[in-house]
Amino acid sequence: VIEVLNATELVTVQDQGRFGYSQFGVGRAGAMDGLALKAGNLLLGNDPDAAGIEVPLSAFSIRFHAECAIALTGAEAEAWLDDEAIPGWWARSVQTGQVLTLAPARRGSHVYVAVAGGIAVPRVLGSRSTQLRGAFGGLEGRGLRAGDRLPLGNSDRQPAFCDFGVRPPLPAGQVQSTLRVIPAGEYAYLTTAAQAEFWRVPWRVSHRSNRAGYRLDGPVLEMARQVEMRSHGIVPGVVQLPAGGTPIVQLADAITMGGYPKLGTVIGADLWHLAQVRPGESVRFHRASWDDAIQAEVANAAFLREVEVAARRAHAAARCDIAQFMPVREIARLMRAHALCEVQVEADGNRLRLQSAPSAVEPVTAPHAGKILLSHRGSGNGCILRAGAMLARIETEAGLIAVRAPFDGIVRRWRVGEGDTVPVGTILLEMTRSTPRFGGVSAGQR
Amino acid sequence: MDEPRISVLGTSGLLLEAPGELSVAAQQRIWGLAEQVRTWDGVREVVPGMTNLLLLFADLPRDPAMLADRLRAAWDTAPERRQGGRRFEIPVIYGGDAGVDLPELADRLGLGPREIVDRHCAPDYTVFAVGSHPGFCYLGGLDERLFVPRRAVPRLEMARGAVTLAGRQTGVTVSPGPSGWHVIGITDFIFFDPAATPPANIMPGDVVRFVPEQVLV
Repeated sequence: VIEVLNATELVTVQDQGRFGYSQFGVGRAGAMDGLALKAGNLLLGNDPDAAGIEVPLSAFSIRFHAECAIALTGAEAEAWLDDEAIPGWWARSVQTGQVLTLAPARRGSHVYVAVAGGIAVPRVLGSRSTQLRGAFGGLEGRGLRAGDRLPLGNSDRQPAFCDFGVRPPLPAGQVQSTLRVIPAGEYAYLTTAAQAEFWRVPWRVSHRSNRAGYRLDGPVLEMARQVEMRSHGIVPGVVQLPAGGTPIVQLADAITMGGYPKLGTVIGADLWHLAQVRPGESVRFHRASWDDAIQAEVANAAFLREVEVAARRAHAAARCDIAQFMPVREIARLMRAHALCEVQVEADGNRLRLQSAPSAVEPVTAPHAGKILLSHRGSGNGCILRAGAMLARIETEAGLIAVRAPFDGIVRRWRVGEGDTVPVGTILLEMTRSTPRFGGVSAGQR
Repeated sequence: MDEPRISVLGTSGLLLEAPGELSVAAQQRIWGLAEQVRTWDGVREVVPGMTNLLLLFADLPRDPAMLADRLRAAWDTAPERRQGGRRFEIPVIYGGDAGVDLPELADRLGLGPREIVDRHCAPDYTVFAVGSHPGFCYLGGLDERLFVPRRAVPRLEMARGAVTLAGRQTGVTVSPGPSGWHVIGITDFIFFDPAATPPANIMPGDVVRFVPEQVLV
């Protein structure tokens, strides 16, 4: 079970949405950035359609009442598991009692918290998504609040241990604000000048925007011909022109029928870009062909495939580390390589504990070959760190892995720089322990 | 014969709009078309609207123009399909706190509040479509004397069960949400239950009548 400690009512349980019930007036709902939630699920070995938590532009915290694994994807936000910083697009094992805290997103708009096994609220009409208008689905059909308890699903593919990441679909901190649009039924009724403006100007996302739709501020678009539309089915992505003359883009919680003239439809593969644009930021429309739309779908699928492959490799590596029997010398070598200060092996009722030898300055080595990313702040020379704090990330063929402080200590000297490519075992930096321990002899004996 | 209009809704689907008047006969032909199209390969679902039909793709078709041609051909031969036909009586408390716009509408339409109620509950309304929000029914058959433009300023939250009218339409707000329609009464009739199969109680083709339980004027 997950206990919600702090949430705004905009935080909801979502999956990929509810299909097949439009004819009863039930809209799609589902994650605004469906790609990010799918990726989070894949990082954990979940079904990509599993339910997770969508956190739009607000702080959020939860406590775990069971061992679990989580993945953070979507917008860029500071996050901590207790006091350990967690980067975005990252999967991490969680112990019972730990607290995950998210700060409001710095860039982008929607952060996703996926959990191994998924959020196991009951399916309603085929989906676990929250239907806010109908007040069903998700948790009691509403946003989350402090004190809520969310059930966790069982996962037979649950990873043994997680501490790895993947490259986000766009370089860190970037949002794609140009959206590909296919013209719709009433585009031709705009004046020629308005047609040109539609593609040319930046459209500012109004603060009166929400999961149902984004209102766009910009020039008033004139229709060459007034049309009276009969109510017809609409979908997320449809760009409508109400009487005021500035467009609205329908989104995940769109109603199922509308009657405003339709200028275009944002292609399905670009809706996740729109979900990460913040109110006050601007978007532009780019006229897309059918082939563009197909290629965009293929690119999204390829990204998800990469995430899935990286996650499989990371999960397999974690299982292998635990299962393998190793002679002591080999264990010592791995301890050095993985910067572990203590290892405990249990077999047939016996317990073997190995601790690294004391030394004034201890090296932290690369656990894997790859490119060094020092993007994580607060780990420069002279920084005092707690065991488990993120020192750097290494970009490997299989994705990103973490280098964490092996003990409480002080960073003395970095031996590598941002972007360096290093083989496994390279000394990355030197640390000293802030509370020295000597081979299991407690300080009281001295 | 007038051609239907077919347009693309991005990568989601195709919209067919029937030519001609908004009539029960035209709507029955849409229902006939819907019955065929929902069985096609590559179609995830169909959404019948007001003399129009939205076809939603299961997967992206290679060439939407071919699917559009097939849809046009299916429309040309679509039979009129009678469906629904069940009758529902909706008990309504007109006026008072739950029908706050009734006096203003009376002024605007030049009718007494009582006459508005009488004209509103006289007809048998045909359910043309269900949509917008879960369980909401688009009703055909409103008395012409009750045609009225929407409110200039929409209400942010219309109550559950609000009996409303605007334009040429009348309808009942099934779950609370924003609305620019005028509210003249309230009902406790249950239109939608997500645990029921089907979840909407009233379906296209059914007939609805409003029955005044109380008139507070």
